[in-house]
Amino acid sequence: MNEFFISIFFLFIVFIGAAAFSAKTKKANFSSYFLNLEMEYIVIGILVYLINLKFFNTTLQNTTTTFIGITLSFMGMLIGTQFKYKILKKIPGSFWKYICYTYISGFVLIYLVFYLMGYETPYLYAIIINTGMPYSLNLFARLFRIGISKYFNSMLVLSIYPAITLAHYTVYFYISNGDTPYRFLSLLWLIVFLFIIKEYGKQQSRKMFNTMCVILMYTISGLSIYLMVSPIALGFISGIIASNFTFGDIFTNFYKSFERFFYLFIYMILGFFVVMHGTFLPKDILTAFLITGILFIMRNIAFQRQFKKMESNRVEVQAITTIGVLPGFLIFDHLFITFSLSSLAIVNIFLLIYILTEILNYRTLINETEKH
Amino acid sequence: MKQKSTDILTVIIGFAVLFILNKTAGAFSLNLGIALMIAFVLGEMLAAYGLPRISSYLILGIIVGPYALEFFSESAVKSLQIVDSIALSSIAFVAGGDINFRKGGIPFSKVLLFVGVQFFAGLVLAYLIIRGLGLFLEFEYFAIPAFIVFLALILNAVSPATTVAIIKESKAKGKLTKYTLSAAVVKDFIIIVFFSMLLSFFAKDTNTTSVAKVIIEELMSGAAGVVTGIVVYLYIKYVKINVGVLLFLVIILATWVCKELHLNNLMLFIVAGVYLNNFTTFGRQVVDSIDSNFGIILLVFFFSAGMVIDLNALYDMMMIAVLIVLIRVIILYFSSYLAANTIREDGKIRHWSFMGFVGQAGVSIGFAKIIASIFPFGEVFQTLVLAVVGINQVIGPVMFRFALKKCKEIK
Repeated sequence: MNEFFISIFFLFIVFIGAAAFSAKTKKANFSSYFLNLEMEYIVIGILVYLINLKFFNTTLQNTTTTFIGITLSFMGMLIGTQFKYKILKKIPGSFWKYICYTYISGFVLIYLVFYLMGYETPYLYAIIINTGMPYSLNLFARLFRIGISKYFNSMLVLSIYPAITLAHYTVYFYISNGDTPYRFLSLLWLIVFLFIIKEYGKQQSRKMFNTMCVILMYTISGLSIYLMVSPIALGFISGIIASNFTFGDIFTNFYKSFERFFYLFIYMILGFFVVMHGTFLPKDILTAFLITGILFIMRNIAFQRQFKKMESNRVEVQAITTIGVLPGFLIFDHLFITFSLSSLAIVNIFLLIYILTEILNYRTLINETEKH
Repeated sequence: MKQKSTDILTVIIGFAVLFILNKTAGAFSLNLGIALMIAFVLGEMLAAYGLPRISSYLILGIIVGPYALEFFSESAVKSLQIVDSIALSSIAFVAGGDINFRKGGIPFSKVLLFVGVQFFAGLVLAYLIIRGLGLFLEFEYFAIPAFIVFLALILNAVSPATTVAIIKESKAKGKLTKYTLSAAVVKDFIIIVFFSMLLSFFAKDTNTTSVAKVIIEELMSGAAGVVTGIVVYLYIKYVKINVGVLLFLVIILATWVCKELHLNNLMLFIVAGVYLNNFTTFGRQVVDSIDSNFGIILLVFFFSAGMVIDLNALYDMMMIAVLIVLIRVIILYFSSYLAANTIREDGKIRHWSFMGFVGQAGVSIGFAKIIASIFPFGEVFQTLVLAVVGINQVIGPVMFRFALKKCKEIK
């Protein structure tokens, strides 16, 4: 018995409970919204960790390491495959301007907060936290039965944010280490693999592509373990390249079909991290509140005029404060590659910001939706 | 033409990388990914010439495994066991989900009679022939009753996973397909029970598995299968969302439970699949959910199955193993003919069904290992069985595919 199976056991119980609950409780209120964010898996992660510590005290095994590598490269691929060059080209310049303004200003201010509060690697932390994901917007639209057109721009911005974050993280990863040339070797390997898959996939059926997707995921995870390269970064690069292949949509659809499982898994891992890190200092709480304030001001208030430029004829709701669960994956990735516990220093900060931004985003959505 | 050259290039580059990375620390996952890629490409390449994909996966597993090029060590292969079990569970789930005893399917009583006749005829024939061989060959072990009885039993063992794999890969449909699938599953159960009976008879003095214990384990596996089926049924009926994730979790979890409680995961998932397909309306949905990723499941399972085929054993016992394989095929033909005749089936089943039972895998190897640990002749027995299984596992899929094609059950 190892921690992987203990995790699966708990995940199974909670999955059934949560799925049954969310299938039956789709109410238009805050509690339903909050519960459907599925943060209960974090509690499960905490429980699994404690049970493992108390009764089994197992260490990481080969299979677990591989599975972690797969989870992380999967996440990178999932985000990467959503960015087709052809689609990105169609996005108007005003969107990019808005994203650049909010991203850069947010990043600089978050960096300053971490720096001034005396955290170890403020640049990395700022990259990790300064992101976004459209999950809660989708959830809100589903619960309140509101057409997505009301939030289209916010949704688009939040969908592009993870790619910007991962691009930033990837560049940071490749240039911030002493053994960079060695790590660049991984890119060479990646190109060879992708070339093979591209050439090979040209005449294959959809089902064959499914198998190839898994092989690619496994190989990339293996490559990252072998060369000690960030699996998320490698997955992201290969995802972007693969999505621009002739059958790129197959990659996107395939990875999307497993999205759910990996999301739940990362929540549990976050639970592990919460216990591993343990302490939650007043400094952390203050930092979390400061960053939440920055995110809210920079994304919802500061660039309103630029946001208005993105609207065509209809008035849209501007609600992009949420940071989503991506920071959890990045913290995990950094820990996995560096074996340094430094990134765990912001686990609790991230979780608090996550909750606060979700609450703020919910309030914004409620107020703005009523107004329009 | 271009595709072919890309395939060849992929295989060459893959092997070159495996050669470079050979025995490099920390490269296990990368090696495995590359080996799977080569196996997959090779499978597609050779499929154009009529070779079943799973045979290519097996062959590549043998080549890169610990008994040939040694790109993977024995301990690395062992660490794959759980992945292997999960793949087997998935295959069993699909197998069960495809078995239909209801309207349009073959009645269970008919399958049972077919298997019963085939098994007993096969067992008696195998015993007599091996006993007879002992009189002519200078192979002293063919004079030992326990050796002969166990060998005769193992020669009757089948591999339901191989049967399902070929059916799925070739998208076979028809009477032969239905018979071989149902019969392989039922025969597997009967052989496990018989093995434990023989074991308790021949190894009374040793602290080995009792018949009652094996039957209880099998029944418990079946009961656990029904429970698993009910859980999946209730979930799909009332919750509906994320069925794929649920199945994924159920397969991992139940496989782990089987490992911990010494239950048979093959039996558990076959029963779960049979339950869903015959007592609910969700059998198809479950099969379709797993089916979209069946390619990778087969790839992993048969590739790792190839890695455990012991080439040393094959080399040591080559001549006798080939002889046993030939005898087995003949026995299978006659026993299947007799069984099909008993249930009054047509020529298709009489003449071709035996080819569906040639493939052998895990169960036979498992039996051989048990025998090796108990009897003085165990080591020789194990070597012989491993050699026979190795050959059967390679020729079995090819023969079954040939039979399906002959009976026009595949396009």
